[in-house]
Amino acid sequence: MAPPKSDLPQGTLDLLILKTVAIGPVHGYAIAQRLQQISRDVVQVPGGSLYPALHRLENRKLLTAEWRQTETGREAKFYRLTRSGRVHLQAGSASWQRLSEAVGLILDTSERGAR
Amino acid sequence: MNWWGRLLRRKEQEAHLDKELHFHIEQRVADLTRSGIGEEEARRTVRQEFGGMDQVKEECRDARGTRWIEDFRPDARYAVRLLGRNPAFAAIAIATLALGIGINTAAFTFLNAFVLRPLPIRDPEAFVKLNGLDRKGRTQSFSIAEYRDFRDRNDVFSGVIALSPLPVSLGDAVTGRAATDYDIIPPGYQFAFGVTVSGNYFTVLGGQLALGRLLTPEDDVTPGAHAVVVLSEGFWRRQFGGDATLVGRTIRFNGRPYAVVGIAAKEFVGTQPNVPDFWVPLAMRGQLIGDKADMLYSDRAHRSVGLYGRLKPHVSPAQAAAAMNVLASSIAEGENATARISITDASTFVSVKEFMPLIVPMSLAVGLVLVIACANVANLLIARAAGRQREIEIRLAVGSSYRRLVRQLITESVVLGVLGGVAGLAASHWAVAFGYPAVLSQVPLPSGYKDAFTVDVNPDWRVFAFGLAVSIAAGVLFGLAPAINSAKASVANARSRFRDSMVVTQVAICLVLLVASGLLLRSMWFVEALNPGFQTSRLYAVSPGLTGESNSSLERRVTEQFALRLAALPGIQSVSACEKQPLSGMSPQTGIDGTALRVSYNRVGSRYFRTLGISMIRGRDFTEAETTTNAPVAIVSEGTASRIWLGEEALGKTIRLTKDDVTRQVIGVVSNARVGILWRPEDAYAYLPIGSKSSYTIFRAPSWSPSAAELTVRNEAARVHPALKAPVRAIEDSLEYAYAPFRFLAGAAGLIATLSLVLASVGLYGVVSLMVSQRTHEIGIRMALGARSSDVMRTVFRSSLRLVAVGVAIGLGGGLAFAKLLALALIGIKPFDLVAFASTSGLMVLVTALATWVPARRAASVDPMVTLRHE
Repeated sequence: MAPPKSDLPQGTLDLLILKTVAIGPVHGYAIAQRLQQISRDVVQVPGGSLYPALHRLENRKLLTAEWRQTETGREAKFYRLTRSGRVHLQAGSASWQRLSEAVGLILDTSERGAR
Repeated sequence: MNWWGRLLRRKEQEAHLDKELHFHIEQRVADLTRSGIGEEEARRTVRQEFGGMDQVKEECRDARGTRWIEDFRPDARYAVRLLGRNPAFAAIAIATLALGIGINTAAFTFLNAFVLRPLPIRDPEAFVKLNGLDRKGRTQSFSIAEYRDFRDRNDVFSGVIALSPLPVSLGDAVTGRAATDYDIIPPGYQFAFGVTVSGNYFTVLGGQLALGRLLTPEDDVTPGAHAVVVLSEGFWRRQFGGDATLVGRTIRFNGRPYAVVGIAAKEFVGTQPNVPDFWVPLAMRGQLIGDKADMLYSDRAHRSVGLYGRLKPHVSPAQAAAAMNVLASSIAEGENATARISITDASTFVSVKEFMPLIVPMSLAVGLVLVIACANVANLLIARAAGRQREIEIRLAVGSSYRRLVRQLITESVVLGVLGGVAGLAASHWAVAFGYPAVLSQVPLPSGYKDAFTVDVNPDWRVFAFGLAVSIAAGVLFGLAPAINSAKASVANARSRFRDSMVVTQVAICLVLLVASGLLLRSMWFVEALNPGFQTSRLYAVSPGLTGESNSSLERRVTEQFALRLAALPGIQSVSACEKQPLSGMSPQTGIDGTALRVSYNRVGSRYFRTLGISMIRGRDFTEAETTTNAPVAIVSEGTASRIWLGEEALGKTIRLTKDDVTRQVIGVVSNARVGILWRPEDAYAYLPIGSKSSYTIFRAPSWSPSAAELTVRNEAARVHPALKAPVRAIEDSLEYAYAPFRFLAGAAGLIATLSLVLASVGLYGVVSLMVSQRTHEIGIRMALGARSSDVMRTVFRSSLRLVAVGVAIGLGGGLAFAKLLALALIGIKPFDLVAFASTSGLMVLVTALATWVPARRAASVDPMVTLRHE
């Protein structure tokens, strides 16, 4: 399979999606919008990455989906976090925090060392 | 929705996917137009940022996890079309696979028939065998008295049955109720192989009935009271032409009348692969075997029956064994009583455990043949992949994912595998259905024993499932590497490396199988060359007996008279008597008081040694008077003499056998002979006088063929007494029976090894041919620059034999490991037999050299001008 067409590290997109969905039931388009807004346009997820990721998460039973009306009265597929999705999200964010702190530390040190 | 649900609701899924993606796009377009961009412009932007719709859909489908099975149908259809376009490739690949899969399916058919398929009885899982062990842990049968105790006093079995095989001679006529003589059984000797069974036999097994009634417990109460018999369907058809009026009439067993009360259904086979001819109540056994009748039912030392039981629900075999052991110890009487009982599974004809030494090397060998076949097909696929490079590159370029492509290629090879499997199943069924009876008819076994190998070899669902599983596994096995290889659009270099490794694998495996077959062949030759220590040619054993006569003094008189008349016949050289005929299994053994030695023994008449051709080394033979009076004398083998009285004169010493309990003086020493089992030396032997009762008359008639011997003896017997029967057995035949298992193993291994050699050499031939054709241009240039044909030949040979050498080295190691599995079947040679290893390696190198030589010649005859002009 081709790698995700974003510059996000592997697995990060899943985590971001889970986090976005955790707020409440939401459809695919809204997820993309929210990611873009919250990250101040840094994270832009093309549909070619978003939807396969959503389907994969649904397949792994981290998300569950149902068809519902939107505010404008159109039918859309709304995603919701499952219990194991919540667990996965917690574990994922924790390890991401640790990793980013560690990466930050290393980068800091090497910069000082270089100076 | 679960995996299946997703698979089944594929249409709905597709619609949903489409709807979801379109919703996204419409929303985005709406957002953009709201911010002031024209709709045309907005749509273009969205298309750009969203990516190709179809590609996104593809990836979503992939994420669903049911992709491979959804794609299977179109992929399979494409694969079949592709094969149709290249029929030569398809034919070779399918034939190769059919061979590999067929041989595995055939082997599995036998495994299934004997070992895996449950007995055709009611609830076979709960059916177990009771094995009795004596105080020293030796297996022994049960006595009928013991059986009755076990049957009535246990609380772990819902039923215990006893059975004991019984061969009988059939009477000369069948008399019906209509009182007309009904001469169905042709004149001459006819034997039937039946079983005497306890009265509850059919109830416990769940026997089905075709006609009349089955045996009941009432038939098995008073010894000799109910002369009734149930015939098996097969015997009824063979012997009586399926005559429905037979039920209620009388047939004769050993000259005694038995009423046929029923015919068992065809499906009912009892507990052995060979269906017995008939079943008679155990209470009639005494009458049928003659003079030991009284002992049979009361004497606990008289052990004649085997026991089977049906476990009660929720009782484990271990619990049953524990309960039976308590019971056994509470009724144990006498020295030979059953000390312990073990319970083994009897839900199939033979237990897997028992046949492991045969099953493991056999399955390994046929499995290896399949690996060789797969390697061949893998090589073909790799060669074909070179031709499909363009197709694959295009598919990758238009967005087919790497995984998708591998899946497509694997589907192709699985389709090939299944086609090969179908052909293989057909071939194996044909080979088993026609080949097995043909082979069996060649095996020199008496017909009764031969029946033991007559099993239903029709394929059942297990065989089909096995064939399918093997085909699919083979498809993946030979398809995986080439698929990955071609999907990566890899360079020719990697491909030739793969082909090289396939050649090495094939040579190595092939050599392992060749070594195995070489070892078994050497073992067979060794056994065939064994000198039994006596002359078997034109040596005959006769067991005379009066049918339908229990007057033992009359019988003794008649058989004595018969022996005398036999001795007087002109063609006969020498006549004697013995309790156990030569080459009919291990002789009984006994300890010798005062020594640690155990010896085999036999009771023989005078002139026994002269008749057999065993040489008398010192001392003298028994006299006629000594044998008839059972005088306290004995003759020992050289082996016994040297073990007990090393360096001393054995003659005149005394010896007392534990089972004989008479102090005997040694009057002669004879040379060692293998009179029990040909390939098991029984050097320590003792011969005792036979006394007045003889079991076998044994004679040598150098001018009589076996058929002549039988005819003459039959006529002579009839002259002595009309009821005297005297079946003749040629000892030469026994020698053939002894060779049979070794010939079978060597034959099977030889067949497997030959097939693998053919496959491996075809594989090597293909690889070298391909290499030569790819390098034609290079060879042309070389020759134009002055290389001679011999140089070219040498180059080709060097690259081929380098692979062969690596393969042979690995194969020798594998052969050594494999030889250990065969240790049980190797008589007279060590698992590391230099001759077998060296000669098979030589053969391997020779055949591979031949497979290289043909394409090498082609390379050497390349015309440089033609190649160069071709450019």
